Amino acid sequence: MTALRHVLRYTGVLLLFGIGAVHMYEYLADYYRVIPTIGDLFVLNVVAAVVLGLALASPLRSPAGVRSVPVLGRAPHVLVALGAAVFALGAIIGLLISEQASLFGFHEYGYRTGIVLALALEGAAVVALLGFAALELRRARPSADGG
Amino acid sequence: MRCRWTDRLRAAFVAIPVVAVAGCAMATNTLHPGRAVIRTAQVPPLGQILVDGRGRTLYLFVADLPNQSSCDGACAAIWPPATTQGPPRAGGGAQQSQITTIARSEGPRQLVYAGHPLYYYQADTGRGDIRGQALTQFGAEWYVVSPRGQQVQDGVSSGSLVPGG
Repeated sequence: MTALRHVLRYTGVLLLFGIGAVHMYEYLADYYRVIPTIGDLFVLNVVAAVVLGLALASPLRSPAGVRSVPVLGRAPHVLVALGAAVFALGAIIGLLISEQASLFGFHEYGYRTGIVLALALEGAAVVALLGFAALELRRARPSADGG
Repeated sequence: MRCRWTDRLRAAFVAIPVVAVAGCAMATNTLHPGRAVIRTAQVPPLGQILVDGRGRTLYLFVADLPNQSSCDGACAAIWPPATTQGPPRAGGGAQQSQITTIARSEGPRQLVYAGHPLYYYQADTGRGDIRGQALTQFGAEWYVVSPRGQQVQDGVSSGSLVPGG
């Protein structure tokens, strides 16, 4: 179970970096930087993906404010993983809205390779991160004998 | 506590479509354009150029062949094709005889003027914006279009009319 937890954790890290890389490519190479609001959101996406990925990979110790929370306080990576899953899910929702209608005035045109890749990475990240969070929570839950 | 989180989640799901709809007001809306109108507008320093019914600047792509768009995928996301539902109309100095349409692989038919498929530029957000003028993106240059169907460079129309346009 520990091995699976590690696999999911570092798969999540790689997927987060992948999400950031796809958005950086579109920002720089596909000129998304010229799109009002959306360009700024792409920069935020890259920064968030890198920060969350590094936080998930680092040997995070429970911050004082988090330590007092039952169960979660014993597994601070759960909070990072859940935050990253929400981030990836938000990216999926934003992309689907821009495909179907428009987001901040921007309409995405078709499901080209870059779009499909972004959706695949974000979907896989949600699955991996939620799976890791579930296993981490199970590990952190106090056992019947007080462990 | 659970109730509060539920309320926030519900608010987020309500807010997302509201933001999306609000965005539609400024959008190029190439999937549901209605019946398009091509007009002309005086835009310094370029002079008379083609705009749509809301005054938004229309561009041609130098890489396009006559009556054929070569802009798709990421290109179409940044340079959305100007489309129409129903026969397009001319207004102002635009010539009805120069206006045709071409089919696209996705969405409504694209407007064509004198053989040039027409596009918007995402960075243009209001009337008179010409931020895409003379840019080189996706392998070729983009120009605003004169009422005669020629590309406009620094206020001077150049290039011949496309045969059969």
